[in-house]
Amino acid sequence: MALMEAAGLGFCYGGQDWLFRELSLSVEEGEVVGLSGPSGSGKSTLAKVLAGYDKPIVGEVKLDGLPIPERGAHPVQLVLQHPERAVNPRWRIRRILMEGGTPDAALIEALGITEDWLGRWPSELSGGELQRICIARALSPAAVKVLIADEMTAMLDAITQSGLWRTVLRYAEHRRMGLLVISHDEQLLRRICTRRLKWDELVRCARAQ
Amino acid sequence: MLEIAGLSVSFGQYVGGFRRRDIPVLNDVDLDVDAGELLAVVGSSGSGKSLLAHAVMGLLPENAVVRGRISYGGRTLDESLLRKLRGRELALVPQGVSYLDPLLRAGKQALGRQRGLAAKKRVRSVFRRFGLAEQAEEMYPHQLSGGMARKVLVSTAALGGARFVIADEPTPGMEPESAAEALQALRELADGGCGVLLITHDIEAALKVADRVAVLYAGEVVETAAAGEFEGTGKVLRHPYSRALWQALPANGFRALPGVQPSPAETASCCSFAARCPIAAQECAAGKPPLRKLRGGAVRCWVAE
Repeated sequence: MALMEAAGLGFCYGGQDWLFRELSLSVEEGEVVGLSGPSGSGKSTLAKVLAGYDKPIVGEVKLDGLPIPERGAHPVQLVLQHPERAVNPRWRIRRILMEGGTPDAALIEALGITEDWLGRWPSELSGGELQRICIARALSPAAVKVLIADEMTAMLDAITQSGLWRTVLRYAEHRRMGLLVISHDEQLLRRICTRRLKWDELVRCARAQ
Repeated sequence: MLEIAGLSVSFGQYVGGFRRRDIPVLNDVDLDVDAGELLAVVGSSGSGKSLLAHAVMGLLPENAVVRGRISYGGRTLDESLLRKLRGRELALVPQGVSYLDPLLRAGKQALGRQRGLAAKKRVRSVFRRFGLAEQAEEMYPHQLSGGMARKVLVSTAALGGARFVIADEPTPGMEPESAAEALQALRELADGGCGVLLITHDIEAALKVADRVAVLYAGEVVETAAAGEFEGTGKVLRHPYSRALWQALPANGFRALPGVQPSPAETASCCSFAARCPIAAQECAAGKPPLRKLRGGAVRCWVAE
């Protein structure tokens, strides 16, 4: 049984054309699945539907074969490209970091988050520093089984990128999580993924079924 | 054409009531860009690269303290010269489509205040040069793709008669094809005789169009190198940070480097990279290395040969 399974998903924004229909996708335990495709095709919307930000119009997302519970921390967490848009600018870093529970101390250390960041405001951290906070926040609830990284490191320099990915991959493997990595960066996907998907195939396969 | 010498920028900040302290963000930056040259400034977020663009354009906030000299065409680029050149000879290509007027068709937008048939013809020829179809002139910004929007922004600079263009992070989040197109438009400008300063965190993209690359770390230029020197394992590069940046690319080993970039204030009297450097020697913690010429480029390192 797949860790996360989406079957027959369809989504559109109020009254507009379908962004995708009959889309099926699964992520197994310990897998790193790469997803690439043209801009504006609906990859980010799919990520939001999988992570429970939006409800699918048709179809269902299941975890370990069961529907995702409505309450509590969502087991599918999403990290976005722009961390400054994913945090409350009027909260201090400590509150943002603890939003989903207390993160693992070893993870905090591996991400290079230091005590003196915690008292600052989001605008006082660089993009790379703030992204570390968002990653720690996403991984902190014990219920998290799948992490979706939507262009998570596209704004970051190569050294920050490789450092963050090494930490995330090690942590995900340790916890037997599944990862879905959405990116335009072919080289990055080739480097870190255990399986690759192209958006067009995903949609075409789904239609054929 | 553009020469930056010993540029330092700091921000005055009030800490706990009325105590004021200066937070340095750029330290002793030396750079020059010739006509027809495209210089890429690469560095991580927080290295001060956007502030460099703002310093040149005179767009720093009120509490910024600026030292050093920026000159353009041999003249000091001060407030009065900036007022004459900015938006005309000197142009900033901003990050994206949100800087276009959403209610104005692209062709009209690129025209600016120019009118008449001759001006329209100029728009057509510039659009063609940057690979924009005739239909693009009639499109509204929301109909343009990210790549097209950037090309319209570059065209606007070209039509305004820009001789020097600064582009600040023109490509993030774009698919590779559009990003390549937007950068190619900048290359075209340089080939037409413009000086271009391209500011980006994406070294791979920058290398496709740049003549030279300046690497920024913790507010300092640590190396300037020819674009072609970023190749293979990076062994001809001069600074260990440039090499680490190159080797961290997914295609080049994806190597990690422990530690984080310090703030310029923490490393005022030592090499800013010493704490993370694989080849650091004793002198590196004892004094700040100057930017010195080395093998046709420049490096800020005590050890590099």
